[in-house]
Amino acid sequence: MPEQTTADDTADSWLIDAARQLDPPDSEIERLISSITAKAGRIFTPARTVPTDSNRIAMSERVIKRLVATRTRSAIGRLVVFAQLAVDDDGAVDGIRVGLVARYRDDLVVLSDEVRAVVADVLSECLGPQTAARAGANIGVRWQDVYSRDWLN
Amino acid sequence: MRTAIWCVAVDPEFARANHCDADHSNAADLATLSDDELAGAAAIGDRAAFDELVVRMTPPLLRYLRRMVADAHVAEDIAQEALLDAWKGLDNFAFRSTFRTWMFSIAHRKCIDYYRRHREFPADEDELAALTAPAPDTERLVEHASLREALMHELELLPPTSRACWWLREVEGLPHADIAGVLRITPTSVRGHLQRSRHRLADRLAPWRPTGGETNA
Repeated sequence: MPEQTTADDTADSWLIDAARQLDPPDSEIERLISSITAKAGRIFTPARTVPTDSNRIAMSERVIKRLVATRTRSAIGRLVVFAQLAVDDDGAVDGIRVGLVARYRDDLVVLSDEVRAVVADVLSECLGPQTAARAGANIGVRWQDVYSRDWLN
Repeated sequence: MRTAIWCVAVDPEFARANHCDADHSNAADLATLSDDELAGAAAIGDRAAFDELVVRMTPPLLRYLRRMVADAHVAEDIAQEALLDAWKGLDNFAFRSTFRTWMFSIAHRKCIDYYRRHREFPADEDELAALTAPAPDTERLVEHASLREALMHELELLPPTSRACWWLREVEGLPHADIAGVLRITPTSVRGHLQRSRHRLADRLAPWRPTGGETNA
């Protein structure tokens, strides 16, 4: 909701217009954006590792979440805004909860099945078919309202 | 014995490539999504979502920081650090504010750190506010400066908190409560700073006030 204004709360529009003309040149902004996106790609963020089918390989939890987010968005066109792996006492993945932003008129039941299929593929690729089979049977999908951000039942 | 091997399953270009790949016609158009939706996706590692946020947030952050620190290169450095810190700390972003407000908060804290390191203004800002700014040679300014130049000059003369309040409200359109959160002051204090800044700028820049026609912008 727009903030209420009073007579005392108004500003001189000609000053605001002038202030908006103080923007840095586009070339500076573009250079800075390139620099930031390049550096962001080089930032290492530690994350928990989880076991896979191979004793010699452990997988970063962050990689799994990232793949779930990007694969789901590209395949189904819905944004993943939450992903949490469930692990058992041995630290093995035995499920995953995924939260997405719905759009109006979405058939959530159908879309949820599509999301589960994408997530199951990611788990299989990351963890191996054996570990993924158990986790893939426990894929929870929740949806958020596009405007209120409230979780839908 | 288990040998932990970091599986680098994500090509750095992977996320960026997917959303603009013609084969993915069902892909979400990131440009249509809100900042907070993108922040949610970026928080779990969606690089394309974060890149879109960088494109959106760099201009407002940079223009704010250019007003808050004298050196343009320092402003760029702070904007860059703020966005990279956001990328590293998105896990902890709990949506208690909008992403935009959160970003301004990070940038402002970095400004304060910079001020402290370089002692750009007195520790007690009231001390500075109490100082009377030298009266500009109005006739000379009117003759030689555009409104933009005069506005830049007058903004520099405002105490930093007043300048920040004015800019975040008038240019960036943040609500009073959000500005209070960014600057860690009360909303009442924000209103006070705003009122004083508006009066002062309107007064000092009165020679450039349009009279139904054009300004000397």
